[in-house]
Amino acid sequence: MDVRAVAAGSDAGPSSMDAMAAFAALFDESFEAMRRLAYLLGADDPENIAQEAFVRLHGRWQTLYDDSKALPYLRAMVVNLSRSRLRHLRVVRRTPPDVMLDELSAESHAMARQEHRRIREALGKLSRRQREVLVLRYWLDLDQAAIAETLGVAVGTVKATTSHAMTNLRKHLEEW
Amino acid sequence: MDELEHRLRSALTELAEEVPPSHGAWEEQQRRLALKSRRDRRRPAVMAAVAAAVVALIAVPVVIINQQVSSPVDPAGSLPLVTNPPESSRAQVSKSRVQYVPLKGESLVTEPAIVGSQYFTNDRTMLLTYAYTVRMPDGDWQLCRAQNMEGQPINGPQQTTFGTPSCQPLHQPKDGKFFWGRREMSSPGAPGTWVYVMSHPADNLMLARADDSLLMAQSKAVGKDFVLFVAYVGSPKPPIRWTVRDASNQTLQDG
Repeated sequence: MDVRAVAAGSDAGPSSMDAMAAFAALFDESFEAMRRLAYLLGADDPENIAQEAFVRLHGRWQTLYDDSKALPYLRAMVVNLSRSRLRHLRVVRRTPPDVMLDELSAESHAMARQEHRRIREALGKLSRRQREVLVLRYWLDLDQAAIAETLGVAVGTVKATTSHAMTNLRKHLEEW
Repeated sequence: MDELEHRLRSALTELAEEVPPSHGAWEEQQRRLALKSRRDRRRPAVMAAVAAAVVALIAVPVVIINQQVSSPVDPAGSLPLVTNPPESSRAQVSKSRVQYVPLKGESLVTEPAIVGSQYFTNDRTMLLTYAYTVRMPDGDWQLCRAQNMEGQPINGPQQTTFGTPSCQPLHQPKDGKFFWGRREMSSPGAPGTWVYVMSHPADNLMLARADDSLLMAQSKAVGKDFVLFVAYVGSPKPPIRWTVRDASNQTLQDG
C-alpha cells in the first residue's frame, strides 16, 4: 500500500490513513484527467486549476470519499474554477484558449491535422456553457444526468445546450 | 452517433493529449495542502487575537469610566496573551523512471525516485533530484543522491555538469530492527527532504518534526532488501522521532 501523507500534521489512526490512501489513489487516477478537462474548457493554467480542485476536495474529503461523490465534486470544481479563471482573464483582456492552443500547436503540434484544428477553432467560438457540455459529453463521456450534476443545471438544460452546441459547431465548421 | 460527433470526440481526445504530463504534481498538491493547513491553524489564533483586541477596546474605556466613577485607582491590567500556533508540515510523493548507468561493480537495489524538482521557465527544463540505493561489489549497501536534467540518465554523459552522485553507507539492521539509515536530500525545490530506508515489511513511516507535529513519509521505491521512504519536513530541523509500521499498521520499530 502506497500510503501517502495528505494532511500536514494530521492524526494518523487507521481510518485517517485509509482516507489518506484513498485521496492519494484518487489523485493518481484523476489528476491528469482533471488537468486535461480544465485545458479543454479553455483555462490557461490547467495545472493550477486541477491542483486547486484537489485542495478543495481535500477540505471535504471526510464527507465525500466514502460515497463516490468525490469525482463528481472534483469535476464540478474544475468547471467552476475554469469559469472563474476565464472570467478573470476576460477582465484583464486576455484570451487564454487561443493563446495557449496556438502556442501548443506552434511548438508541439505543427503537424496536427487540419480537421482537428478546425474543430478546435469552432469549439473556441461556442459559448462557455456549450463548450462545457460538449467537453463533458464527448471527452469525459458523461451522461446527461452527470453533466447536469457537474454544471449545476437541469437535465433538460443539458439536452437543449447540447443540441444548440452541436448546431453551432456544425455552423462554424461550415464557415471555416 | 453521427459523423460530427465522431469528429468531435476524436478532436477532443487529440487536444487532451496535447497536455504534457505534469511532473511533481503530488509534491505540489502536498505543498498546497501544507500551506492551507498552516493557514487553517493560524486562523483560530488570529480570530482569538482579534476577539481579544475587540474585548480590550470595549473593556478598557468601560474600566476607565468605572474607575473614574469609583475613585480608588488600581494599576492597569495585563495585555491579552496569544500563543503562536504550531507550525504545520508537508509531505509529498512522485514516481518516475529514469535511465541509470551503473558504475563499476555496483547494482541498483531501488529505482531512482524523484525527491525534488526545479523548473526553469526560461528554457522549460527541469532539474530533478533522485534518491536511490545500490549494492556495492563488496556487498555493502549505499544510499545515493543524484541530480540531473529531466530525461538525462543518471551517470550519463551530462552527469558531470551536476556533479557525480553522492552516496553514503547503509547499515543492515539486526534481527527485529528495521532501520537501515536516513539522509537529508534537500534541494532548492524541496527543502527539508529526508530519505529513510527500512526493511520489509515496512509499509508506512510516521515522523515527528522538531516541534512534535506529525507527518507521514512516502514509500517511494521498493527493493529486494528494503523500502525507501521520503519525507518532506519543510523545516531545516531534522525529524526527532519516527515509527515504522507494516501494512496492517502494526508497529515494527520506533526510533
